[in-house]
Amino acid sequence: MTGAREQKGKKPRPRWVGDIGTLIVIFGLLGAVYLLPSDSALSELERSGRLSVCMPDLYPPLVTKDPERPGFDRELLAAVAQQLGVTLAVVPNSSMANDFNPRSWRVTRAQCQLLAGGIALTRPVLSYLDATEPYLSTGWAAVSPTPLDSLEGKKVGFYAGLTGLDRVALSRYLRAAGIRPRIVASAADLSAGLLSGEFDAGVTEALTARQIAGEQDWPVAWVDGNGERYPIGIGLWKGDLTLKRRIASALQALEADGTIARLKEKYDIADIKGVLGGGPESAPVLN
Amino acid sequence: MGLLGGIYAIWLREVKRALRDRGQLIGGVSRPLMWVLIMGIGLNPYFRGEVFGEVRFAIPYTYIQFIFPAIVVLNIMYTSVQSAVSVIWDREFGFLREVLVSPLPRWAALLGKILGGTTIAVFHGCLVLVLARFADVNFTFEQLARGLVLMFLLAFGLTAFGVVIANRIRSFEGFGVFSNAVILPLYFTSSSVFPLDPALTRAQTLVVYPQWLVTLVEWNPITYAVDALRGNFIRFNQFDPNVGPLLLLAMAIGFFAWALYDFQKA
Repeated sequence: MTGAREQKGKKPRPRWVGDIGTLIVIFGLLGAVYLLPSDSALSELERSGRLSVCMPDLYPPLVTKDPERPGFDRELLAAVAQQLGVTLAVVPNSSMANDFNPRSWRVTRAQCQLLAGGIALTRPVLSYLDATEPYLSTGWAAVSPTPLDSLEGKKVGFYAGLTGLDRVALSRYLRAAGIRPRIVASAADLSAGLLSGEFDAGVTEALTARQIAGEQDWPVAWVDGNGERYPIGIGLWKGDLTLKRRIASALQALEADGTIARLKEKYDIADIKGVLGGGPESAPVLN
Repeated sequence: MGLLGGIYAIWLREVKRALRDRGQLIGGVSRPLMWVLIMGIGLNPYFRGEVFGEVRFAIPYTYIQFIFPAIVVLNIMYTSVQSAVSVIWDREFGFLREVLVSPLPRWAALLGKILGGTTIAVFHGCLVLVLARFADVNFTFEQLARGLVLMFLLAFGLTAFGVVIANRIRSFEGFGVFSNAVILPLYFTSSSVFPLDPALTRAQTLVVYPQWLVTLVEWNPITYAVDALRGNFIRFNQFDPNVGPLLLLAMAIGFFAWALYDFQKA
């Protein structure tokens, strides 16, 4: 009876109202999940108030032992921590700069939330770690007091540095070009050899080459060789999505306010605009 | 009513009916939520490849990212095959007879029906895509457009396959049981929840998995559909990236031709 009275008194509800209602419920539910934090990495960081970062002991210009100029990455991470409103705790790891294979670093989630100090975003690294957008790149580069078209017939100094770049491929390339480089023990020796005229050019890992070039205002170019180029970013543990998003937005803010550009200038990290022998710089590729 | 008008009318009927079928909609939402939230988050820590310790999943993706395209496929599979149950309804209540005696050619009636099922299946696939940010799957508009084309081909082929099944199985209960018996084995042997590591040769893969399982995965057409969507959404292919889209196209054409052959005989 009541139902019949209701039916008499009210106009029947159009069916499309029910359809729209169903869709609102569906998308409301999916929207709620969409906005749900997918992990606790960021909330854990905020709770502890401490951002721990694993870094190599020494990897100039990214990590140095000079308290006045502690390194590009150390200062960058300090600025990121400031953006996040937490303190920075650096966990030194001597294995990190020696090898590109993260398994040999013996790092665990318990030690640090981030990994920095020359994390080249190679396939093996990305198999184990997630990473932010790259902010620098590495590979083999040549620095010389005057612009060079090629290394052929030149006196070349070589400093391998600490990286895990492919030295065999580079030596094959140099041998094929008829170059017998003289190996030096440090970046300072390479720079001194170039200044004294002992070498016409120096070949080394790109970050070292960029620093020498920046200090002396010399040209720097990628060594063509095997085209080995790696972007460098900040490593995170896979699945720490909330922390990754927060770090990415902090890096964007530091890029926008000119902090990253100022750090590049401070550490004399010159831009590499071309490849030895001509041609524009190709975008960093993952090999 | 012209040919297009006839196809449109049948398509609209399918879409309206599916929209009003709350049970199907609840299934379309609960499946991705269950897989992403429970399976994805639950298994994510075991597949993230700690640097020091046992490495379990050394590919550059998290487990949620890895299974995400497969969940799109799962939602499409269920909806596509289930949408063909309307053929049994229509046959039961006499609507199919009315359609078959109408001036509309049979291929157009079938096309309208399959397009209706396809639309709903693609919609259900898109329900999963809503969760992309949660799963950290980022894609451009171009990737989204390409993904929608792949999803359309898959949904079209599977809806046509569902019609083929519905032509052979005449009861609702039988159809439900049969479609589940087809969907779940196809899904689980499509490399959807575990990868055949592309870094391994076939001989190495056979050391990791038994031969029969590797063969099932390699012979399962859904494997290549999952692979095509993975290539599109997370840029990870385990097989030749050209095979997936071509196979989906072949499935769409082949199953439509098969369904049409059956429909002509009806």
